[in-house]
Amino acid sequence: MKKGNLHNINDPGFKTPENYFESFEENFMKKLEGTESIPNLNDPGFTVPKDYFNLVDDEIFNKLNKDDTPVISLNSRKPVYYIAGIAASIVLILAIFINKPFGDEISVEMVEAYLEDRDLSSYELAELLLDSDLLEEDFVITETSFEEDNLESYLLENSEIELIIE
Amino acid sequence: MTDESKFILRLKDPKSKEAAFRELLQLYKERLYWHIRKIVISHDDADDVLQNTFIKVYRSIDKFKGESKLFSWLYRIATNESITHINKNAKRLHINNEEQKTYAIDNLTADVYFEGDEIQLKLQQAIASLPEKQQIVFNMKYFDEIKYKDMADILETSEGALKASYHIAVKKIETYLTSN
Repeated sequence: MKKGNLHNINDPGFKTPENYFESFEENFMKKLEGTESIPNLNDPGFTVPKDYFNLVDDEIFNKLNKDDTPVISLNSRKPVYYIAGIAASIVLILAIFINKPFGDEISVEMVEAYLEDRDLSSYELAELLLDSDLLEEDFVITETSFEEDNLESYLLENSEIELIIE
Repeated sequence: MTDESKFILRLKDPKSKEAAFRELLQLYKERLYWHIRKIVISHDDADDVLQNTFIKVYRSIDKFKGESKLFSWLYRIATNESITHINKNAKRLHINNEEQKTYAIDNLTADVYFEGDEIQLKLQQAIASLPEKQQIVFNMKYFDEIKYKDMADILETSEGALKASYHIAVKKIETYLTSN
């Protein structure tokens, strides 16, 4: 064989099995029959009423020409959700403002009126006082000194002998 | 300007809208009907959904910007309307979508508008056993022979995912048919 002359190489060199082309048609027909063994598989089996496709155009245009206003479904829950949301927001806002502590807005007069209303005794008020509230400068000490007689009568009237002994 | 672009302009122009819309109906109503029917099963439901689809198309044609083919847009609306319809039916019957589809298939033998034989009924049952998306992909590929490229546009899913979906659907259907 001559070496290297490409234009002399006309045969690609492939080979086929023996009797391939003779048996090709027979094998092909068998395969075709195999797919035909399940007829109608490409057809889903659905049918339509007679003249349906001729009549459907007019039905569509009738619906389009009808009232064009959007239909609001009565069963729609959307308005209910919106209303619930608005109501919840209002309740939340009211709750914030009603529960806001008065703090700086409470006047002294209001406190005095409250205390008078409560009818607290001086003993109850004293209980509420903390040591830090009792500052010496808040107390006015008069020059008046206690007379012994006055002190004795006070002690006799206002105290109990047991407490004095203790 | 392409023929489709001109057609879309005619659909949007109030003067020519009605005439153009009638042409649109002629071009697409049957194809869309069969696509819808395979999803919702019964003729009455398919009729409702087909009409709703075209009404929606008529009312929102001005919003169509031509980013996809008109055909893909129509199919997408039809698919979504079909699924919405199934959801509504399922809710009304207090069942889920799969049960609703099975219920529809079970009623097929009594359906006047079903002339399928046993194998066709079995195939519908097999399809109904698939997840919803696989059902739609299978129907579009097997019965409608829609190209994956167009299907990707309609269903807004990648071609690869659709091919995988179809392949899995076919395997499941084969298993269902051989075991039933």
